[in-house]
Amino acid sequence: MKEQESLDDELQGLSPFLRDLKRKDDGMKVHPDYFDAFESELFRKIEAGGARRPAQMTVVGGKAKRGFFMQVRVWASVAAVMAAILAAWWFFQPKATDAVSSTQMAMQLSDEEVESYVLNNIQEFDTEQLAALPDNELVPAPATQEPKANPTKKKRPELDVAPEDLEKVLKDMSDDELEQLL
Amino acid sequence: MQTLAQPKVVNDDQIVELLRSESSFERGFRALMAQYKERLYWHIRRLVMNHEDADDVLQNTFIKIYKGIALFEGKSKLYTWLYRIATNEAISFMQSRARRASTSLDDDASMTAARLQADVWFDGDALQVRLQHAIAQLPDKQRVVFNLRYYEEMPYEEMAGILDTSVGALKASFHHAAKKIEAVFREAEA
Repeated sequence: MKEQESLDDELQGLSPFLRDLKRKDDGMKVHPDYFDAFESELFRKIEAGGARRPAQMTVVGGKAKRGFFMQVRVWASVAAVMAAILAAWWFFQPKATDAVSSTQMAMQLSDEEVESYVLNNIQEFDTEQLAALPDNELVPAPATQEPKANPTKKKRPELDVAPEDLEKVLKDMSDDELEQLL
Repeated sequence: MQTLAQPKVVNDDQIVELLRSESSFERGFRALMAQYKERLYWHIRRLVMNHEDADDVLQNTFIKIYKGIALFEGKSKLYTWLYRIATNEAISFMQSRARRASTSLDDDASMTAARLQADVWFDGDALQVRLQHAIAQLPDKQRVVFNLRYYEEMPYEEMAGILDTSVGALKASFHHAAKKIEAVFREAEA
């Protein structure tokens, strides 16, 4: 009854006349069965008027709305997390695929194709890369190659010549020819 | 009076919970009516004054609630939302009634008092008739504020939710209304 006291206090200071008047019956009455009959009368009117109610409420806050809140917010959160995971997977997936596919593609190339590619793009490779290649993959440097590519020539395979044959050749050569060769 | 079709639901949250489900909607709506039909009736009745008009407005109010319950988003309390609909319906009714009669506010107040005296569901004395006549002279919103405070003793904070007005403005409005009503009585005595 705190509010009643509060209103009384308010009216006491504001209008004692209205406070006294409030304590009397205001004279408004209603048929005793009115409220019982109201409900059936209202439903009759609703059916007669063809009033259709919308399918579902959309409640967004409060204790009783927690069920709906859970349905929407929780599922929205789950959807957002799933979307983030899918986006991350999509973002990182292409790189792995490229690496695998480039390796597979290289394995499918013939030696001639690889050699042709290296010759055409020899300037794209630096000396260290060429030096790191195994001997059987070495290719001759083009005429335009810079002198720094020369170390590859040192690894050129030696001629398969018997020492006797080499000694015979050297005997047959004159001193001038030998000097010229050196 | 409780029946099997009207479970004893006294909590707004429980009513809203019932209204959310297709299968329990009608039970929820009946519970809502059981809970609020009398409060809304008296709120409307004191605005429109006579029973017949109050009955029409109350029916329209509940039909609007029935059709529009899906629009209730739960951002405010259920009863706040219901009172807002009832208040708007009553004010619309009073305004259209005044337009139909093409009367000024004073004339409308006099006609309202005359209708009240003719209402079989009113047996107030001369002082109550004069009080209703004085209330009928208030502007619509001030009349709503006065009635909610004076008859329903509604706290200003709750009223603020219904009328979307600050507590300070509502207090000022109630004080102005009370002073105006007293002035009408003084004029009548003089």
